[in-house]
Amino acid sequence: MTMQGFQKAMCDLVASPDLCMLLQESPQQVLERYDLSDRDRRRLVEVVQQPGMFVNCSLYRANRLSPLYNLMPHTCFLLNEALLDEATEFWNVFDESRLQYNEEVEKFGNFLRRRIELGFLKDPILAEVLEYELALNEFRYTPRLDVLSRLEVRNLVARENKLIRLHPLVRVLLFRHEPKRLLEFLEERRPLPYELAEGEFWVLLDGKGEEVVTKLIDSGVGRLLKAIEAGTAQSLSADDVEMLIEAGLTVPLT
Amino acid sequence: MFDVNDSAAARGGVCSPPALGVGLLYNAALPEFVRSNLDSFDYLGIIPDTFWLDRGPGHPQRYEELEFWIETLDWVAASRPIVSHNIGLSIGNAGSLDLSYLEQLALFYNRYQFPWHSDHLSFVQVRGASGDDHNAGLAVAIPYDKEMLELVAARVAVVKEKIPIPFLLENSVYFVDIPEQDMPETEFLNRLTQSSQCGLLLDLHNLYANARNHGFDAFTFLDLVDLTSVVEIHIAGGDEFAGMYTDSHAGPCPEPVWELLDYAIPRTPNLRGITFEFHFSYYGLMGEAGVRAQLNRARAAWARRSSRN
Repeated sequence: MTMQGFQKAMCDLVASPDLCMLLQESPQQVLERYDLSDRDRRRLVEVVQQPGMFVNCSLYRANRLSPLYNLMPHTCFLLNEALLDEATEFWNVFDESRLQYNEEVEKFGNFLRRRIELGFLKDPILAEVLEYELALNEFRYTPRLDVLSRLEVRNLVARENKLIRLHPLVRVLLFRHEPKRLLEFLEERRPLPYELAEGEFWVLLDGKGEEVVTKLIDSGVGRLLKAIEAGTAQSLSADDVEMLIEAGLTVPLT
Repeated sequence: MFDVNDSAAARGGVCSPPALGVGLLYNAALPEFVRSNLDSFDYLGIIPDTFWLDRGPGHPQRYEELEFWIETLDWVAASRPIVSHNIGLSIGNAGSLDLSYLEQLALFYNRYQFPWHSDHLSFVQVRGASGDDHNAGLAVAIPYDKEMLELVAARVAVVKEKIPIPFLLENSVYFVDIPEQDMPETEFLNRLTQSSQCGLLLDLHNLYANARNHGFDAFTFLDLVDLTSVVEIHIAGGDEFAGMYTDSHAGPCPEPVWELLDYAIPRTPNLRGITFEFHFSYYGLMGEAGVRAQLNRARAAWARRSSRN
């Protein structure tokens, strides 16, 4: 049955304007990759000549850009003209997407982290904003009420062991640029560059309520919470542990 | 011929769905609208796939419901029927039918008791190099071939066995003309509804877009399709892109779609609902009044149908 080969070829073409061009220029080179009947081959050769194939390719890109742009708008804004190149590179690597919004954002986020690490993306603000939006995305898809009710039960049984971890609905992020103004500028879509104070700014994201609350916290607390998150915190006194749990920042480790 | 007035036995023990009226397809911009404008629609259309996370076939906890979305849905469901418009069956996929997805739809059906449900006459899943199915990135129209007709009809039977309510398939929008098809779209739709007993979700905006892009007469298309199989009609807006007219659901319905609706209504004796759909990003432009205006106009059309039936 060649139906599967035809559908695979159609989808590959829709996902790649370059492949469409290659099929126009050198049909055999593309068609030999698929199990196709003669009619399938004639169909594919003809459809790539039609203007509608360009529309299909554009809709594919729009559909894959949509979750990224909707759920990480500031990151996309900062990428600016690099967005399409980065997204295209990402789609080349992750061509077999399930187009689940949460997954797509997480994978693109990890892809960008790697690109930043390797020095392909150099904007110092980008990494901070990326981490902020990835944290918000995690909250968006976390079953908040379910997490809270499970924690309630767990807290009762595990409170005595004094080992803690970060609350699953809390994130702590380090910014090197003044975050309040930075996020305001991004909300306003103000063009770069931004004049921002530089330093060590710790931001707490609290997703326990219906809306995520973002607030600046003391650097000492920020560093401590980050260390707890990483599992590298030095031993804490029983009072400190109790205080962090009471503040809703950590939970007992089970 | 699909006829909701046929005997229950002929359609697998399914009772005729009730005539609902005018519906609104839910989207991310609508939580507040639906709570404060409950009077503006008779039923709520939902894309169930947007109410859950899907971790993929084989995952032990594949589906996880999204609390905030479910909360609104439960609130509406207490006073309005819910109609499911699925996007994940991928009924024209040459690979396998996703049975665990069908199980999840059945769970939703059991909870919300949809009077009918629907999906698209296209495919969105394709077998990748890894051997797993992945998303094609858009709903790809199927060729109207005998082999495809048999495949889809067999899958309709599986869907109807699992979820014992009327199941509709929506006519697709397509931007390329696939050459050498075994039959025209109208014949494919007629043969499908006759052989499989699925109903037709007639998307008038898709029809309008296809007629405009491919140069045929939409009214003649309606004359050629067996309109007794139509249970639901979709209306929407779109816009121009790269020299073609797309089904972008960009705001209000264009005038020709309303004209098609007026033409179709007296010819669809088994029509049970007219659903207005728009992309959430256009809510800011349309506003509450704009959405209500579309629903009111659809209601006026529905009333003309009611006076005839």
